[in-house]
Amino acid sequence: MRPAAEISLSLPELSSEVATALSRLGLLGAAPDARVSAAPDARTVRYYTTLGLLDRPVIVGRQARYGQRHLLQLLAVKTLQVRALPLAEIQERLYGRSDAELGALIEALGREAAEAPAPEVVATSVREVIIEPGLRLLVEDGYRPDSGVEAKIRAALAALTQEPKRDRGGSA
Amino acid sequence: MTTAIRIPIVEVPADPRRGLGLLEVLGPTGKVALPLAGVAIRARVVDRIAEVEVEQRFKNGFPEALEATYVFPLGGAAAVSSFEMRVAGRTVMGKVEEREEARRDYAEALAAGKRAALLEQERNDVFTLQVGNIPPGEEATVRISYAERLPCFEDGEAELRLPLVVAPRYIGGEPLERAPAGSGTALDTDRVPDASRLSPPRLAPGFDPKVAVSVEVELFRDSPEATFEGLSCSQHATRTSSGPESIRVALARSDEPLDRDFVLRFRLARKGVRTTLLVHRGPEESVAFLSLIPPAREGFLGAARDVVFVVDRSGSMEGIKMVSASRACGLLLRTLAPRDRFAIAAFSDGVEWMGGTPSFSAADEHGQEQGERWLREIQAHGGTELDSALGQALSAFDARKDAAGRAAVVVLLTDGQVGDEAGVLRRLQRELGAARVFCVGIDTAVNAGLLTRLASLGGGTSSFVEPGAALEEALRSISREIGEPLLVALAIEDVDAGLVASSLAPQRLPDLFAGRAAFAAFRVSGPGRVRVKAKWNDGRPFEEIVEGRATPLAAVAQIWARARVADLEDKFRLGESEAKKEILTLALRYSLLTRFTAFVAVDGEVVNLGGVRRQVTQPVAMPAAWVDRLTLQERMSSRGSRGLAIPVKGPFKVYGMAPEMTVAGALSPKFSEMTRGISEPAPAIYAGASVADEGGGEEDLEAALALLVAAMTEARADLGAGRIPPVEPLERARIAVLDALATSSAGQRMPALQRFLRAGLVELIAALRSKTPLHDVVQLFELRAKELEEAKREARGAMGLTSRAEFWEATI
Repeated sequence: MRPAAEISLSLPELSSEVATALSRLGLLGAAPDARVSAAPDARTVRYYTTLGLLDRPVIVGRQARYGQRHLLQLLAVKTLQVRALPLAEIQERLYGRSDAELGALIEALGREAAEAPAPEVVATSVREVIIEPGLRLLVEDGYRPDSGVEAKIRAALAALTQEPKRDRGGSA
Repeated sequence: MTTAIRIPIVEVPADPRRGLGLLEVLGPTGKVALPLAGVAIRARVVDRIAEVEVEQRFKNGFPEALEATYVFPLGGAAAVSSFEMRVAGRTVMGKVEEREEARRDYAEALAAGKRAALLEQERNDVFTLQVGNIPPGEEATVRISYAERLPCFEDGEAELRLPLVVAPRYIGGEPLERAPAGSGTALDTDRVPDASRLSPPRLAPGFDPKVAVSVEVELFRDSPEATFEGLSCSQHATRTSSGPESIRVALARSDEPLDRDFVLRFRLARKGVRTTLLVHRGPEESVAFLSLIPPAREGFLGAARDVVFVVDRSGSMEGIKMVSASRACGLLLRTLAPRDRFAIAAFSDGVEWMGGTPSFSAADEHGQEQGERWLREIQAHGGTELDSALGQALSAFDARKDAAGRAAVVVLLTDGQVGDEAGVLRRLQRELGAARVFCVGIDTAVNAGLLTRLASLGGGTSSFVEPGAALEEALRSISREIGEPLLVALAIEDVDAGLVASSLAPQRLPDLFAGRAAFAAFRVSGPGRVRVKAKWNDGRPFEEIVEGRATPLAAVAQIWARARVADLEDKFRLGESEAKKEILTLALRYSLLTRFTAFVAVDGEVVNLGGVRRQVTQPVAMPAAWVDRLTLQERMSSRGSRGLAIPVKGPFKVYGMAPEMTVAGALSPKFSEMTRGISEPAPAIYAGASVADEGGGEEDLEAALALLVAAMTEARADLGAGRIPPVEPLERARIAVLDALATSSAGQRMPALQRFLRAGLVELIAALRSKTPLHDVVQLFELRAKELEEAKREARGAMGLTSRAEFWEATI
């Protein structure tokens, strides 16, 4: 990890740092439910903040910036999630922890993972088709999108969303 | 549009060691013991005045000294008048000080290694407690005492509400680039500068914090023949026992979660509840408390009404709360008569009117049916822009036709969970006009402090219902009240009690609604009689003489002082700055917690010389019946949408879901890059000033200012040596400060600096460029240097807010 107090990361940068650290610890993708170890998105990060698992970000130029402690906190959450622990249990273990304690926990879990038999990794290439912002299709390599399915899906979606919508108040 | 990505598929062999037991091996990384160990509340109710004692017990389960922070609620009109801390078998009495002084004393005690506690008030019903330097394994207990009058009715019904959790508040506005004012999870914004003091962390669903909870209420009979009827605790299971003088109601379980208000309703049945005047004789002065019950009047019919129903459909209302709000609104709509008219507005981030525009329909059978249909379709989501919704509702009356002789009425149905209460109240004070505002609070942990104040400023009444409860019953009283009061132009005159007229609180005496008691408190020279004068709705005079009755209840004086403070706060909010001094005088004299005062208790023993301490803020439960979409989202969110930036732009939501996502790449604005490059070599002339200790988000502005000051200093040196200085350093610094101001909300509070940058400095640079004679440049420079001094002073004030007493003014 980089020297403390120096780093200032945007959320995507924080996510990718977490992913890198997880894979170095041999924890990336090691969960029974492989979704768990995926890097956290904005909502999840905000939720962790309301739970006090993640400190508030620092605001610089209207952007949220994250530092060393955020990285440790997020890494600790993720290493426990790899153990398939519910969030309540994770909070019960991590709440109010110091940097040193978080570091020790991550290390301990990393050691354990290293001792465990290495998971067999099979890389597969897939293609991502963006239907509309927020909706993506994963297409296996070799599948040709010109079969017209993509257009049919778009048409079906358009038909589905043509309901009357009164309550479009905004977000949240 | 397609992109190719590679996703590694991982196959995991079954791990026989997996399971919960595994984690216990982790040693020092076991479970955390949260600071709050117990909450015990005892209330005594005499003559519909409650004296409440709240005891909070904290335990340090960490290996070093602990500083615990707990954000918690007390009754909305609580007059908090005593605070003590018990540590190591000793009791330390807390004392009221000016808030800044108390905060300083607390910080100094902690730095000196002493145990100390600090109690502050954030809102009418939100408080922050800090207990510091609790040694490992030790406990600290604080005890808070307050008094409150209970709302009550002519049939003897009264309601005691003991709130147990601060619900998430909607925080609007732009996040500020400065160090947060508190330890909560929300970011301070320009509209709610203390959001971080109102937003305690939440417990994840399923996390039992193991807080031992007890609530015990003792209701005293005010005469031997009086009996209690209709005792009901709407949200808790209780045990009741009856004694010769009183009835005791206690929680049936000791492991109740702190996630909803304890609400006890009871009826003191006696033939005809009457107007009473309680007089408490203190050592220096006597205070009287008048509880005024309007006489019954059959067949009272006020003017025809134009009613705007304002229904909260923000995200926090989702689920059974929304259903209850819609139904409650429908029921109230059904109580209108065909001659009345109504409009309905549902609000979240924006306002939506039934029928598309704020126009009134007749409340006949057809209109009522139409309204009910519309109400049934309201769905909850979005923010709680109560301030603007209220503004729109009030202005709907200006646009109506045939308004002559019709009463203008707003009925607000909401949980009241907003952070910018000051803005909402100010809006009402300024724009109320001839309208009356009635509030129906709907929540398990309602913001009663705001809604009660809103209704009293709005000349109406407030009622509270628990979601899912028997709404018809709960709305009975308010449906009678909506509209015009029975008695107006209330005045209280002395007969022989020695009433001090200037001491009347509230200063603007309330109007009286059928069946509901109204209150006033004032100083008197002793027990005696006062004359109550008023006008019936039709203009005929009303008069009653009330005989005082002595009471041992010291709480009467505190309730009076608190009511005075509420009056003064209303004045202060409208810009009468002298009111602050009066609030301070009252608070210090009556030992009262206010926005400008705080309680501090310091123990003498030094227990933590090293000064190392762990700071932990107690996480609190999500209120019951709130749809925790956060959890839902957590379950669904791991689909790994990578590469998304969190756009930090308002309105910021506390419980907000569905963040507007932007594509990664819009990072680091040019400004940060720039100041990073130039701020380092600049001497820290300015950074050494008082703002430096705040640190945090305003560093960029500080750095840019330091650069500017350095450039000016160098220029002065050049001029002193008889040289015309180069303009580049000044120009560069000017741009840097302007850029920093553009991205910092503090810039709005620095008009002198803005002027200097946009006029004075521009002129100076122009003069330097145009080869003006040295003598003239020196003169101009000294003029501008003075301007900069002023700008610096102002900037120092605008930054580093929480260290200044003025900060709290925005929260009133």
